[in-house]
Amino acid sequence: MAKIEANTDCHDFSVDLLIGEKAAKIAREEAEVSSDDILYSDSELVVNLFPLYGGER
Amino acid sequence: MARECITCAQNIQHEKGAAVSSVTDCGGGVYSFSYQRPLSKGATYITTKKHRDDLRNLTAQEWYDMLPVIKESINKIEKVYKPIGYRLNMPTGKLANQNQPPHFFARLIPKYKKGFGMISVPLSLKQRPPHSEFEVKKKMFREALLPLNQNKNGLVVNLHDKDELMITTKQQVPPICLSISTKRHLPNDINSMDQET
Repeated sequence: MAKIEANTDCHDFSVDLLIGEKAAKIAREEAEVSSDDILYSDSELVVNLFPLYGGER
Repeated sequence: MARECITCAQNIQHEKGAAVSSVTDCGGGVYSFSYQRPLSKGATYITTKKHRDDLRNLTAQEWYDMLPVIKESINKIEKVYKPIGYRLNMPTGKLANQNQPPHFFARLIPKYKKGFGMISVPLSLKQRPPHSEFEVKKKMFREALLPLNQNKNGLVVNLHDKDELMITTKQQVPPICLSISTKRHLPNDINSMDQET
């Protein structure tokens, strides 16, 4: 986060954890992301950090 | 301070044991309380007792105090509602709807079934900046972050820039995503995580 703030004009973030394999699988289905394309496994506890720009408030 | 800050006033009620919404307090600088208008049964806020604008201002002790509060809150929710999992969201800054400063808060939202609670949204249903603008932002992030400081303290950080593959909510419109995981397999269960992780 500090590295992003120091090197870009982004100062807003969202930190997300999907806890539970079933919840992670459902979230992936809601986002219409195939399990073949997934960036990480549903069975893995992963912290996602999203730098934010605009979009709906 | 209590007269000026509604959360401080609530904290005083909580400390007196008079707040009906209190869920968990492990005696540290962080505690949890239930939503007044939950978007999912058992939805819980985790907040600092002292003023902290967002997670960037948390002390090391408050970080340390947070995990037991999350675990115990989950255990309590499990006993009553039995959800299939949770989304733990820590908004940071105005665009993320961190709308309760000067107290840091995180949301613990139980998930029961597809399409209910805090839902993820496909890219096609999101309002996004123009494609060209997003590409410029992605390039800027790649240049700012790469090479990533991999494998620090047993953690692995990966940068993803394919937004169609990101699992995000409607409010989250990121140019990139950083996924932070452990080098060793960490099962997707909050009880598998300890403070050291």
